[in-house]
Amino acid sequence: MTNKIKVLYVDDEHLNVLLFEMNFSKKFDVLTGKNGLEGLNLLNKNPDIKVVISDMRMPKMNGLEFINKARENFSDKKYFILTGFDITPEIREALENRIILKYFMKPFNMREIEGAIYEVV
Amino acid sequence: MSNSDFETRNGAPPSSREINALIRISQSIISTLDYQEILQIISDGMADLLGIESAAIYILQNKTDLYLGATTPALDKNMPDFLRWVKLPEHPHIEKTIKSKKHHVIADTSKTQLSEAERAVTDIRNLKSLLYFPFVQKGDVLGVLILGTCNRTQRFSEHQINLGQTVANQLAVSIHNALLVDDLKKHTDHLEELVQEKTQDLDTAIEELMAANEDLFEKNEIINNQNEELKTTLQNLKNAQSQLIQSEKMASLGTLTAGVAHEINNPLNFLMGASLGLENYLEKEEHKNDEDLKLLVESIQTGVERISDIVKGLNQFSRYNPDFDEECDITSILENCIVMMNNRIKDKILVEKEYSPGLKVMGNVGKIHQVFMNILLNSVQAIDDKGKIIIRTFPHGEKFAIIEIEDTGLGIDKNIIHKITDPFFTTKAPGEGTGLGLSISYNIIKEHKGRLKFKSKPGKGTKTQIFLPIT
Ligand SMILES: Nc1ncnc2c1ncn2[C@@H]1O[C@H](COP(=O)(O)OP(=O)(O)O)[C@@H](O)[C@H]1O
Ligand SMILES: [Mg+2]
Repeated sequence: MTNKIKVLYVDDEHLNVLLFEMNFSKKFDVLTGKNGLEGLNLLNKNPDIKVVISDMRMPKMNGLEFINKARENFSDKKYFILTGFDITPEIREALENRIILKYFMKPFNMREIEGAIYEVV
Repeated sequence: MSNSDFETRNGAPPSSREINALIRISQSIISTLDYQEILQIISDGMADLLGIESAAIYILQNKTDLYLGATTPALDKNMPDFLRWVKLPEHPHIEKTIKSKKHHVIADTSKTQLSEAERAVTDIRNLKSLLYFPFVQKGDVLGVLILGTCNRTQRFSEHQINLGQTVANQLAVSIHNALLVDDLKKHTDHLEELVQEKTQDLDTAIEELMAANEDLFEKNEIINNQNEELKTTLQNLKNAQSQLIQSEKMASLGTLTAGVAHEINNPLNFLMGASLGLENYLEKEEHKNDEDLKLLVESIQTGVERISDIVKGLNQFSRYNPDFDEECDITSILENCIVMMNNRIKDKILVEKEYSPGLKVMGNVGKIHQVFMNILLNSVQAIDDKGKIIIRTFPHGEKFAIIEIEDTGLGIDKNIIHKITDPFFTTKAPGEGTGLGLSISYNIIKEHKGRLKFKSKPGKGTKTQIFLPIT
């Protein structure tokens, strides 16, 4: 399409997905999914996705589980977590193992997310 | 003893030799109370008085036994006592004297019938003539005095017999007294023995008692020790229980706030997202100058940020962290406490703050937050209607930070102020207080190597001071 960075955002909250898209589509090429499975599908279909941002708490497959699965085939992509929780031991471990590069807290701070994406790509 | 006592009935007056002998007897007897000695004096004295060389005194005991009390010449002192005892029936002449209560004479032993025992006695000194006197006292015969000549017979004169019987009657009194004294002595001895025996018994009993007492004392000590141990155990148990309750409370509070935070953060995310969307939208040409709309959107964002801060605070202070090496910003921790307690403070309490800006200590943020919460909550609860809480923070030398929380509440009574940090000590109604707040705070402050101080005036208010080391 364009030369905008392709970003995948996965969140089970419909409004979050919607608003993310609205706010970030000016700067990025945003794809969204409602759960981990959808996320994996989108990754398969869109090899040019550079950045994956996932909500942490989702039914069936949580954010980290989804990211771990995704990394099996797409280890070159940059992964982030956006969570309503404060940092948990799980997230800390993922950070330490460089499975995710950063975690963002809800309510999101647009500038923080933008900055992080530009930094890693 | 007067001379007239010895005047004989047949009129013959006693010779001066006889008087001297009598005086010797009476003086000797006066000088002693010893029964054996008295018998010896009488035996010797009578032999001397009557001019007869050999004498013996038998004392009657139990009606049938005779005891050889003394002889002249004297018996060997070492003669065994049992040899002195003889049976009355074996000495018929003595028996006769006793029965008749009168003197008795054997003119010539070789011509008189004697029992075997009598013969054995007379043979020892070859006694020839014998003169028997009974010692009669108030009609009873106490014993018999036997005088005898050795190797030759003698005809005893009437004077000799009368004098002998008279003196014997007098001496019976002395013998009787001596017997009584002896008896008394025996009794006393027996008594003494008894006393000694009893004393010994008593000593043994006392010893036993003392041993028992010691045992008891030991047992008592053991009981005391066990009691002490029990007390400590109970205290430890209470502390452990309080810590358990607290850690469980904190753990559940942690999960609770984390869950709530997540639930709040999602809608906050909507608000934030929506307001950002709106902001973008307002950047379009036709709205560029609508300041009112901009203000509205900004208000939404300020609100969202503030809520977000509170939630973050909740998360931060309730999350579990075992480390004590966090940098604790006193002001921000206190501010967060006030925010969290705002609904209880709002209308009734004026909070004055005198913060020392940038005051920090090393420790555990969550735990210090908990201490401030507990102490602030106590102050809030102590204020019934309206009141004031003054919070002061300041450094104390270079090593300590002091956090002072002063209230105008009901104060703490002198009688209980030493107990308020005990686990489960509370003066509050169930549901109002658990009595754990200060005990936990005290432990946390101790973990931080700090100190906790209370100053209180009942009816006026309470000042709580927390000392925390800066590094
Ligand atoms: N600021 C205060 N003013 C009056 N009484 C206090 C104050 N702080 C503590 N106390 C007394 O100390 C007791 C113990 O306090 P605490 O350990 O916090 O337990 P709780 O508040 O659950 O009773 C309280 O019940 C109260 O009697
Ligand atoms: Mg309390």
